[in-house]
Amino acid sequence: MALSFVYALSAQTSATLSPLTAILDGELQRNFSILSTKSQPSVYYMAFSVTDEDSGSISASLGGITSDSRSHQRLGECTLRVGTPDFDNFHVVDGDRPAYTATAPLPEQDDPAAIRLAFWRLTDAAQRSADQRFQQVQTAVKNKQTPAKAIADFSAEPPVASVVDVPAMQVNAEEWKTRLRKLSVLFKDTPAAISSTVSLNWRRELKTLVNSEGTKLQHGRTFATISIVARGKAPDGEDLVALESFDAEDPSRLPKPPALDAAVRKAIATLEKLRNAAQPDPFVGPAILSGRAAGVFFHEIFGHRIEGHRQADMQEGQTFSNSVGKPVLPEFLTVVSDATLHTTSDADLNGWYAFDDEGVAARRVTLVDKGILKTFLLSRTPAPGFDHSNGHGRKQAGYEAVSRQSNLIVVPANPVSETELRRMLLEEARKQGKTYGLYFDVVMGGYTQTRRETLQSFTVIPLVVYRVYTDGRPDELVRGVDIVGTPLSSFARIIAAGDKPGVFNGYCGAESGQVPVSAISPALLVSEIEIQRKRNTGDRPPLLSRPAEGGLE
Amino acid sequence: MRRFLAAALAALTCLTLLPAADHGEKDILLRAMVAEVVRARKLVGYGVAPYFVELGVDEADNVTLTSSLGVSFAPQRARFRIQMPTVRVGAASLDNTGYIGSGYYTGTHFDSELISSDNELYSLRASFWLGLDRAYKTGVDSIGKKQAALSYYTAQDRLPDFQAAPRVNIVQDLRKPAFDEARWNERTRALSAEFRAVPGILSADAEMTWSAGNYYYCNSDTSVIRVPDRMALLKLRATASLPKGGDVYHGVQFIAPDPAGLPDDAELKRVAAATAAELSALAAAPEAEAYSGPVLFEARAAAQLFAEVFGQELSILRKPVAEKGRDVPVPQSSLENKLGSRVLPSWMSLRDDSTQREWNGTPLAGFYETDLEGVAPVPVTLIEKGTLKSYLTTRQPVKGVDGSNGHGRLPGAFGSRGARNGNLFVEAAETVPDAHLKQRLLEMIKQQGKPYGLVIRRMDYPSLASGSALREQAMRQMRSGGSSHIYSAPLLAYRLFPDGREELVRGLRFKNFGTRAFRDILAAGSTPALFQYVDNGAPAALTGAGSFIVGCSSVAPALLFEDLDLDPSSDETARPPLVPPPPVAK
Repeated sequence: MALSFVYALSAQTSATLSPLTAILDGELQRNFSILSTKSQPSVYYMAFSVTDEDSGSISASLGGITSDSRSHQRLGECTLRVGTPDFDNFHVVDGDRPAYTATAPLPEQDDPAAIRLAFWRLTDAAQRSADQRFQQVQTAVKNKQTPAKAIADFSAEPPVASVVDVPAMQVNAEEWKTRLRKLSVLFKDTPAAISSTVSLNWRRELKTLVNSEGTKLQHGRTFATISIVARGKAPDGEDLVALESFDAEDPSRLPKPPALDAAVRKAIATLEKLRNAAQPDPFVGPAILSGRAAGVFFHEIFGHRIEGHRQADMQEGQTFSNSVGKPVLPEFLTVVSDATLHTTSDADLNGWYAFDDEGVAARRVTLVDKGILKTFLLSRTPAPGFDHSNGHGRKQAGYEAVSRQSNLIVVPANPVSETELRRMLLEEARKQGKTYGLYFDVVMGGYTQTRRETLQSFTVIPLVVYRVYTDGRPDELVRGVDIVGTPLSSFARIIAAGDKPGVFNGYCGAESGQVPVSAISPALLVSEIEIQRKRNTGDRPPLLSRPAEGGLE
Repeated sequence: MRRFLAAALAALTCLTLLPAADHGEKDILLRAMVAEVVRARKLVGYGVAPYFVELGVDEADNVTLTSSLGVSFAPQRARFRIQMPTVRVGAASLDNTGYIGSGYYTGTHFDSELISSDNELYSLRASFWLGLDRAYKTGVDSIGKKQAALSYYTAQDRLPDFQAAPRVNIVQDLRKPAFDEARWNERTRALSAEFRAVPGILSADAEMTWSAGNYYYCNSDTSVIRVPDRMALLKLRATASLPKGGDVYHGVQFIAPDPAGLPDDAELKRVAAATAAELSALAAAPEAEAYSGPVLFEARAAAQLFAEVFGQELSILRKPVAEKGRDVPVPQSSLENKLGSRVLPSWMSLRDDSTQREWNGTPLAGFYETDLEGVAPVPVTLIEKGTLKSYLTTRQPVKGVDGSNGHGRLPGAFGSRGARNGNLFVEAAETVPDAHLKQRLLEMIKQQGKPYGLVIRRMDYPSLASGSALREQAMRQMRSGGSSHIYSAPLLAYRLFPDGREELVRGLRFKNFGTRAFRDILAAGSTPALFQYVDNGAPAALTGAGSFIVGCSSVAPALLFEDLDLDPSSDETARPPLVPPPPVAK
C-alpha cells in the first residue's frame, strides 16, 4: 500500500521553553512540592495542560451565509494522582471511570499571576476530588476478589521536552464566503434536496503540557474540513442524506473550486438517485466494503476492542484480552496504528499528532501482524502484559485520557484489483445461491458496544449501497439499510482485500470525548454481512412547494 | 448620561422622519418573511387550516469583551439570525398551544433556526418555508394530542388560547452607534484589575457585551415590525476566599441602550473600587445568625426585591393540558386567581410602563417598542392602592384580564410567550424621609428587645451565584418545607445597632419568603432608586443562564418590612486549600 510520509514543513522546533510552559512549570512545581509531602495520601503525579484552540466556521445555504463564527479559547486543566502508581485514584472499580479534570478558561496573554491563580484553583479542586476518590476505591476493593495478577494504575514513562510552534492559520474568510455561496446555490434547482448546506470549518490547536516528571511540551496541528450535506425524503418518508466531505491540514490543501463544484453535483445526483432507489429486505450475503467503508468497519469492530484500558476492566467485553500472540484476523491482514503519519497519497489524515495527551511521543505500532495480535493501543494505563504506553492516551479538553485510536491502517498481504474483487464477490454470491451481492460505497460512520451489559455489536451507517447482480444487470442503488453484526463472527468472514487504500477521516466519541481519527483500509470482500432496515419516521415532506425564485407571489 | 440623551433624541428625530421614506418594502428580509407568512396560510395539508401565522427573526450582532484580574480574554463575536416561526391551528378558542407537548415535534427537522445573514431572498424564503412547515406540522400534532387529552376530562369552561391584538406597523432605522472595541477592552481590563489587591482574591471578571441586534416580525394579521434591539451590558463579578475555607462573591452590573449610556470611566472606576472594598469586607465579615424581625430594604434593594418577586409572580404561566397522570412541572404563581385581593398596603401601588423611555434623565432598560408577539406595550396598573388589579400579559388570555398588554417578552413554554415586566414603578402615597426609616427600625428593635435590626443594601438579583449553588438552595428550601421557588439572597446585609453602628454580615437567606410578606410593609422612604437589570427567565434571573435576555427596570423607595425570617446559609464549608495561593497583586 502506497503511503507517503510527509511532515508539516511549517513546524519549528525550539529548545527554549515558551513563556506559558515556564509559567505552568513554575506553578506546578510549587503545588507539587507541597502536595507530594503535605497531603495524605500524597500526590505522586501532577500534570498541567493548556489547549489553545483557534477555530472558525462558515456555512452557506442556497446562496446565503447562514453562520459565520470564529472562536479563540484557551482551556487550562489539571490532572493529579494520589497513592502510588500501583494503586491510585484512577483505579477502576465496577467499570466506573473517575473524572477529576475541570477546565478553566484562561486569558489570551501569558500573564503569570492570572494563569498561576487559575492553576492553583484547578489543582485544589482536583486534589480534593482525587483524595476523596482514592479513599473510596480503597474501601471498594475490600469487597472484591484479589486479581490473579495485579495490574498497575499508571506506567512510568521518560520525561520529554519539545516546543513546536504552530503558526496561525491564514484563512481568507471573504473569499471562502463567496466560494461557499456559489457552491450552495447549486442546490437551487434540485427539488430532491429539501435542505442543503455547504460548510467550511477550520481549527488550530496548540497543546502545552507540563508534568511533575519533568515533561515540558508544546505541540499542535491544524485541521480544515469542507462538508456538503443535502437532505431529502424518499416517497415512503425515509430520510435521505447525501454527504461529501474533504479534510485537509489547511484550507489551502482542500480541493479547488472545480472539484468542489463536482462534489456538490455528485451529492445532488446521489440524492436524486436515492429518492428513486429500492429499499431491500433485510439480507445476509456477500459484500464488498469500499476502502472508506472498510475503514469505519475496522474502526468499530476492531479498533475499539483493542483499546488498552478496556482489557483489565471487568465490565468490558474483553474480546481480545487473552488473544495476544494468537490469530484474530485472516492471515493476509496486518493492522497498524500510526499516529506519525500525516497524509496518504491522496488525503491528509485527521488522526496524527506529535505527542499524545499524556505527553508520550506518537509512534507506529503494529497491532496485528499477519493475523496475529501483537499489542493493544496503550495509554499510561497499563494492560495485562503491557507495562508501558505506546502513545495512544488521548482526550478532548475537559476529559481524562484513555487509550484511543489515531490512524488505523489495514494492510493486506496479497491485494487483488478492484475488478478481481468484484469477480470474487459474484462468485461468492453464486456459491451462496444469491442473485446479488452488495457493494457499500459511502458510509457516514458507525458505532459499537464494548461493555458486557450490552450485546457485543456494531453498526455501520451506509449512505450509498449498490446491489451487484450475478446475471450481469447494471448495479442497482438501494437505500435504507444499516450494517449490523458482532465483531468476532465478522472477522472470520473477510475473504480478500483490494489494492487501493481508502481514507475515512472523522471524529470518534468515547469515554475521553471527541478525538480526531482516521481509518485507512483497502476494499474488503466479506463472505457474509447482515443488513437491517434503517429507522423511518414515515413523515411527509414539506407540504407547500418550494418558494418561487425572485419576487412575491 | 446627558451625552446619551442627546444621542437618543437625535435618533428619535430620525425615526419619526423615516416611515415616509421606508415602509420596509425594500428590506429583503421583511419581504421574504411576509411572502412566506402569506404562503403559509395555504397550509391545509391535513384538513386543519392555520388561523394565525407569525414569524419573528432575531438578528444578533454581539461582541463580548472579558478581562480577568487585569488580563483580557479573546473577544467573543457572534453575528447570526434566528427564525422563530409560529403557526396556530384550530381556533382562538382552542388551538395547538397550551398542551404539555406543544412545540415538540418528533418528525424530521429540515428547518434550521439559523437563517441567512445575507439578504438573499431565495435562501431566506427557503428557510422560512421549512420553518413554517415544521411549525405547522408541530401544531397539527399538538392540537390532536391536546384534544385527546381533554377528552378524558369533564368539559369545563376553558379560557380561549389566543386573543386579538391590534395590528402594528413599525419600520425603524437600523443604524447603529459606533462601538470602540479597543477602548472597552482597555476598560474591562482596568476594571478587573481593581480587584487584584483584595486579600484572598480568587477571580475577578469584567465582561462588556454590546448587543447591537434587531428584531423583525410579521404575522398574518399584517403586522410588520422592524426595530433595533440593542443593549450594552457591563458586569463585574469577583470571588475571594474566606480565612476558614470556602469563598464569597460580589458583583455589580450596568445596563444601557448603547455603550455611550454606561457610566463614564471615573464612575466605573469608583464603583469597581467600591465593589472590591465591599468584597474585602464580605470576606472579613462574620457569618450571620438567624434573624426574625423588622428589615429595612434600602431603595435600591427594594427595587431589586420588587423586580424579582413581582416581575415573576405577575407573569402567569397557564397550566398546560396534559394526559391524566402526566407530570406537569409548572410553577404556579402565588398571585394567580388573586385579582381584587390585597397584596400590598393600601398606600402602595405598582405600575408597569414599558413605554416610558427615561427616568430622571436615565434611559430605561425596560423600554421597548413591541414584544415578541408584535404587540406594543401599554401602561398597566398592576396593583392599585394595595389591591391586585392586573397581570403582565401576552396574547395567551389570563383569567380576569382582557387582552395582551404587550409583555410577551420571553420565549415562553407550551407554545406561548412568557410575560415579563418592562419598567416597574413602585409608588407610595405616604412616604417618610429615608433617615426616619432607620430611626423607626431602631425603635422597633428597642420595643422588641432585639440587639440589632437588619438593613439590606443590596440583593443578589440577578443572582451572581453559581448554578449549582442555586440548585442546592432550592433543594434546601424544599427540604425545609418551603416552596421550590428560588428567591435571591441579600448580598449586602448589615446589623444596625441601637447606637447607629452598622456591621456587615454574610450568608443570610430568606426563609418562607413570598408575596405575602409585602402586605406587611410598614413604611416607605421618600427617595426612590432606579435599578436596571437583564432578565432571562431563569430562577433569580441567574446570570449566565439562558440565551435570551431582556432589559428591565424597577423604581422603588426604601421599604421597612414589619417581620421577616432569615436564616444563615447552612452550606458546609470546604476546608482551606493545602497549598497557599500564588501572589496576585501587582
